[in-house]
Amino acid sequence: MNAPAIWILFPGICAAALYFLRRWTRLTNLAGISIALLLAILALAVPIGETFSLAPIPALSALQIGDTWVFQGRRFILEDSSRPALAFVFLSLAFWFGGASAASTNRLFVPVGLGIVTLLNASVAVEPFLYAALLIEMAALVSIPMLSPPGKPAGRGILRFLTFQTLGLPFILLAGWLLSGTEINPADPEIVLRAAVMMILGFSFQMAVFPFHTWIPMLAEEVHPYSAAFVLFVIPSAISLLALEFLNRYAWLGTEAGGYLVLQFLGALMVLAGGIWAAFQRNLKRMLGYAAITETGQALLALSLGFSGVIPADPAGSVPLVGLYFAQFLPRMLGLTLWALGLSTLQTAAPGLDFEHVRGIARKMPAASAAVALAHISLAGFPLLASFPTHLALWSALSVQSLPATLLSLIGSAGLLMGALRTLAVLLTGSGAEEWQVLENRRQLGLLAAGGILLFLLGIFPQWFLPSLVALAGG
Amino acid sequence: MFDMLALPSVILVTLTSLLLLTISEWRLNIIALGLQYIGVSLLVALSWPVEMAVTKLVAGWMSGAVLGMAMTTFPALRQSHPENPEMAVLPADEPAAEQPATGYLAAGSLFRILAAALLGLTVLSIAPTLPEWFPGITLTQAWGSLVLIGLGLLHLGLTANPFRTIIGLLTALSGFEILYAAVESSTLVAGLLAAVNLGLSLMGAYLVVAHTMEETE
Repeated sequence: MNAPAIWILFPGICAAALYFLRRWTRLTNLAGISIALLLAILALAVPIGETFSLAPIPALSALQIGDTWVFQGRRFILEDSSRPALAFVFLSLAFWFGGASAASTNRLFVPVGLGIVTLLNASVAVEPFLYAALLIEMAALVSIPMLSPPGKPAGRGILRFLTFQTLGLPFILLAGWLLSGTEINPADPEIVLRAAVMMILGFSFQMAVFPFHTWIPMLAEEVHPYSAAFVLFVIPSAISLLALEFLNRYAWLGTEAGGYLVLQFLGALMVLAGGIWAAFQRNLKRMLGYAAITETGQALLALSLGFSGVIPADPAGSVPLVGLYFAQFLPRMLGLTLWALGLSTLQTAAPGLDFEHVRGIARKMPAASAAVALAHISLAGFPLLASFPTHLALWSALSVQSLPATLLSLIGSAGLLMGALRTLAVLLTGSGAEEWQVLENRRQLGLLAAGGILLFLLGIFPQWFLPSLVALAGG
Repeated sequence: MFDMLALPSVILVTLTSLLLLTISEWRLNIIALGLQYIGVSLLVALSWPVEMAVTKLVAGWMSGAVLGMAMTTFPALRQSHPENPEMAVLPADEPAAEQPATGYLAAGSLFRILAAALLGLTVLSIAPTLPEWFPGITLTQAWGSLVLIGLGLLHLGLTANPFRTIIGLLTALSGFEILYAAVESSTLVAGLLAAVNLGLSLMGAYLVVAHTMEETE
C-alpha cells in the first residue's frame, strides 16, 4: 500500500464509478462528499512512511504506507509532510460538493470534480515535477463536460479556455527542459533568459494573465456559476502551485533572474485590471470572473514575496512570507463558493444575471442577494470579512518590497469593492411596490446563512485558520 | 532511412496543414489530419526509436477517428432540427461544410492562403536559428514543427467552431511534439502527450455533439 494509491488512484477510480452512477444525483452527491471526507480523515489520521497499528485487528497490527508509487519509470511521491495539504484539498472538495445540490449543478459536477482533483493531486506528486503541466492540461480537458453539459451548445469562452490551457502547455514543458539544462550550467544567461520567457508565456496563457485573460469573464458568463467558480478556483490554484515549485526548485530564478519582480508586476497588473473591469461590469456572472482574475493576481503577489523573509506575526518566526499564498486559499474558496451559490440561487428566479434582470431581486431572494454581496465584499478585502486578514498581511508585507505594486493592488481591490456596491444597489433597488418574500428553499437558506456566518467568523477570528494554512508552506 | 523521408514529410505536413486551413469540408479535414500525422511521426522518428514515434501516428489517427465519428452524427441531427439555430455546429460567421463555394468563401480561402504564405516566409527565416535553441533538432524538423505551430495558431485565430478549434490545437500541438521529441525521449511523456491529443479530440467530439444530446440538468 502506498500514499499515491490512496489519494490519487482511489479517488480516480471513484470518479469513474460515480460517472456511471450520475443518473442518481443525490446518491452521487452523497458518495462524493463521503469519499472526500474519508480521504481528508485518512490524511489527518494515517502517517505516511511510519509503522502504525489498527490495534483491534491482529492482522493489521503493523501497517506502513509507503510514500512512492512508480509508474513507467516515473515516481509519484506523497510524503508525510503533504498530509495537511491533502486534508485541506479533500475537505475543500467536500465543501464544494456540499453546495452542489443546492446550486443545482449538472449531474457531472461531482464525478468530474473528483476526477479534476485526482489529476491535480497527481500533478503535485509526480517526479520530475515538470510532468505536472501535462496532468494539469488533462484536468482542464476533463473539466469540459462539467462546464458545457449535454444539451447546451459550446460557447466561445469554453473554446478559449481550452485553447489557452493547451497553448500554455508547450511553453511550460520547454521552460522545464531549459531549466534542467541550467542545473549543469547555471551561469549561462542565454538559457536563463529563454527559460524565463517560456515560463512567463506558459503561465500567462494558463493563469489568464493580461492580455490572455479574456476567456475568464466569457466562461463565467456562459456556464453555470457554481461550475465556473469551481474551475476558476482549482485550475489556477494548481498552476500557481506549479509556479511555486519552479521557484522553489530553481531558487536563483526568483532572485537573480528577477522572477519575483516579474510575478509582482503580473500580479499587480491582474489585480488592477480585474478590479477596474469589475467596477464597470453590469453582469453578475462576469463580475465573478473578474473577481477570479483579481484573486489570481493576489496569489501571484503572495508568491512574489518569496522564501527569504518570514511572516512577522508568526510566533516561531520560521514560516516564509510565501506562507501567505497558502493562507489565501480558504477565504478565496469560501468567497467564491458562497458567491457562486448565491448566483445559482438568483438565476432560478431571474431570466438572466444582467443588472436589468436582477433589479430589486433582493425583495424576492434576500439570502441569496446578501450572500452575493457579502462574498463580493469579502473578496475585495473588506474589514471583518474572511479575506481581510490575508489581504492586510499581503499589503503590509508587499509595501516593504514595492510600494507601487501595493498601491496598484489596493486600487484593484477598491475597484472590486465599487463593483460590489453597485451590485448591492441594483439588487436592493426595485419599484418599491413589491412585498418582501423568501423564495429560497430551506437547503439554500441554510447553506447561504452558514456561508455568510463563516465569512464573518474567519474575518473576526483569523487565528483559527491562518496558522495551520500558513504552515503548509513548510510542507 | 528516415533522413531521406524528412523533406517529403515537411512537404506533406505543409500541404496537409494548408488544406486544413482552407478546406471547410469535414471529411477532407479528417483525411488531411490523418495524412498530417504520418508526416509528424516520420519527423519524430528522426529523434525517437520508430516504435515510440509510431505512438504519434496511432494517437493522431485515433484522434481523427474520434472527431470523424462525431461529425458523422452531426449532419443528420442538423437536418432534423432546421428550426433550431443552436443545433448548428458551425457558427453563423463560418461557412458551412455543405455550402457550395461562394465569392465570400473564395475570398476567405485566398486570405487564408496569403496569410499562410506570409507565415511560410517567417518560418523560413526563423527555422535556421532553432537548432541553436534546441540542440539535436535538424533543420527539416525545425521547418516541419514551425509550419505546424504557425498554421495551427493561424487556424485558431480564424475560427470559433469547436471542430476547427480542435483541429487547430491538434496541428499546433503536433508541431510542438516534433520539437520536444528532439530534446525529451521519456516514455511517460510520450504517453501523456498521446493522452492529451486523445483528450483534445474526445472533448472536441463532445463539444460538437453535446448540444444535440439529451439535457441532463
